[in-house]
Amino acid sequence: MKRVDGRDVRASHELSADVVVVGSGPAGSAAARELARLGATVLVLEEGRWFESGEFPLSSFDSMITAYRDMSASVVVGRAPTPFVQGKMVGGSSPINGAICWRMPRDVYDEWVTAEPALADALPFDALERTLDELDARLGVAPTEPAIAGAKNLLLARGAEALGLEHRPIRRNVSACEGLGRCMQGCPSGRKQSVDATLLADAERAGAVVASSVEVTRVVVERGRATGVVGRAAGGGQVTARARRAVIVAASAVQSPALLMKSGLSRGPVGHHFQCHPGVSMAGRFPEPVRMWEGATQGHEVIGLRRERLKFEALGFGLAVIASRLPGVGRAFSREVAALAHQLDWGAAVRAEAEGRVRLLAGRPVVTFTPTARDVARYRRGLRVMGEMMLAAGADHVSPGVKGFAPRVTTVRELRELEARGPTSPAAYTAAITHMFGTCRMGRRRADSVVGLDFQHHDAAGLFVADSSVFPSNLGVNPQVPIMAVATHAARRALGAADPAPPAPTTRRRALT
Amino acid sequence: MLPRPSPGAPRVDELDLAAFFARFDAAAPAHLRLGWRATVFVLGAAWPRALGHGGSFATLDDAARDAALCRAEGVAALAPLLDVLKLVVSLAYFSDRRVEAHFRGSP
Repeated sequence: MKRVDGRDVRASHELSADVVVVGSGPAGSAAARELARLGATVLVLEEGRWFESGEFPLSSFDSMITAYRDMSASVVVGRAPTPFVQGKMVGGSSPINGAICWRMPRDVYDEWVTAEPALADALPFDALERTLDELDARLGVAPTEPAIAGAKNLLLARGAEALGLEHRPIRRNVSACEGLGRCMQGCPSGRKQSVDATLLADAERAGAVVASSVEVTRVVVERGRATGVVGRAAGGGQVTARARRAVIVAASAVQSPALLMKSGLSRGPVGHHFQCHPGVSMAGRFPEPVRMWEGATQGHEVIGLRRERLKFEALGFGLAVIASRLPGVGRAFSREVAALAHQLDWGAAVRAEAEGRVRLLAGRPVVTFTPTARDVARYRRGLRVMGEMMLAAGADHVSPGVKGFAPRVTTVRELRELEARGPTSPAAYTAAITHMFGTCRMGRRRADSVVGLDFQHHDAAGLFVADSSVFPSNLGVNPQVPIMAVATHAARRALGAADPAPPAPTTRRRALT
Repeated sequence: MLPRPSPGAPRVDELDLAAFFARFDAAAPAHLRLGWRATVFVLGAAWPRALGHGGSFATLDDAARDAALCRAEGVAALAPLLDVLKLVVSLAYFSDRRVEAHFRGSP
């Protein structure tokens, strides 16, 4: 039996494996694959359910209520309550993300090593690079083809070119993309190489068992050692999973610290140092139909301001979400909706400096986070740059979505005014948060980290954390592939396995001259 | 409060909104349901009365409804409610396959 569906588990159910993995997103799937490849028996427990590609719905609403946690309306609390988005299904957010693939940025890695020099030996960059090479190949990562990019992506390229900003087609894990623009609802053609279809499938082929619709509620720690987990199946039964060698928690930077706290592992900075990438978006209306829902969901990015902690992407949503972000109310809003085919949305992702915190309230995680003044200044700069790119690409007007500022803007002068003198309160901006990090930070010292440089919990032997919560900081880029790479290394540490040796250099016979 | 359909699009009163809201109530997290109910109460009942209308939003004619919403847009405290309103009504309207088909097929 390779799969257990928790919706059918109505009575107590016991399982066991060498290693129990909590979560099946990019981290959990990558860890499970590596563990199975190394010969361990593996049990993966996932709160969400399996989706087949033919099951993914067309409408935003149907997608939100079936595939997203809290209908994609989870909210961080702070001076500016802001939604954050997480998938809840086998594969985590991978089946419903934009398929954007970045490698670990060297400059960010260097920041980590500057703060913790021992990381250079514990997680060497060249070993990470080799893992990333292998993952890139398995996921079929390749730049978006212009033929399926669609107007929204090609116009972003045009706008960036006009402003002289570095830009490029996004590298994505999609095979033979048809440009249906439905990545966020789940690819109906199964073209996205999400982790459920790749890494987790590899793990299953190597013997791993996946139990879906099972919410893990507690890690069992006996005499200082993790021995398993306890959970609830959607069918009502209690699930007990024994781990003979290790438990790996890979449930996200929000759920992982919450699970540790629910398990009595609250010592140290668990839940602290929450970091993320808040994003602001700019809507623009073009004279010709641009049909935002057509073409690769997110196929082009502008990376020229990454050192300013800003990255720009074309966005692709379901029609309802596109409509809800349009300016105005009443008849003005209706007119904007009627012209839906002419509307575009681009987003600026900010590598925020601010740190928040995950706490437990009535057994549920609550995230507090407020952007710093410099982060808000980046919102303003991001909106100005996006607006200038949109106008340069031919938009009639753009809508920054900033409360207390003009709803429609037609000139560069107004955009510069927004950057220079726009609102300083984060609450004035329409933002959303993706990519979360840092809440079970790795490090040598118990005082400022939750897990050691071997990913093992400081207070519970055999308990490892393998997702982005161990990252010392946010990345400023889409993290799914670096998360998979780090989780792969964490899986090796859990089994005491070394990283594979680098391939021997090719020796060439020196030509005789 | 729903967006007026574009020419040729299904009319709002043709849609099965009761089915949508039954599913919304079953699936939405508590804070979103609470936000929606607050939005309906404030913008649907309290705000029209604050503007001097005798009845609720539903009793107003089209011009009065539009004016009430435009006035609300100028009040900072009501901005989060208008955001919730636009999100939920857009989800409701586009949850109908005929609406989705109309807009996807539009030139």
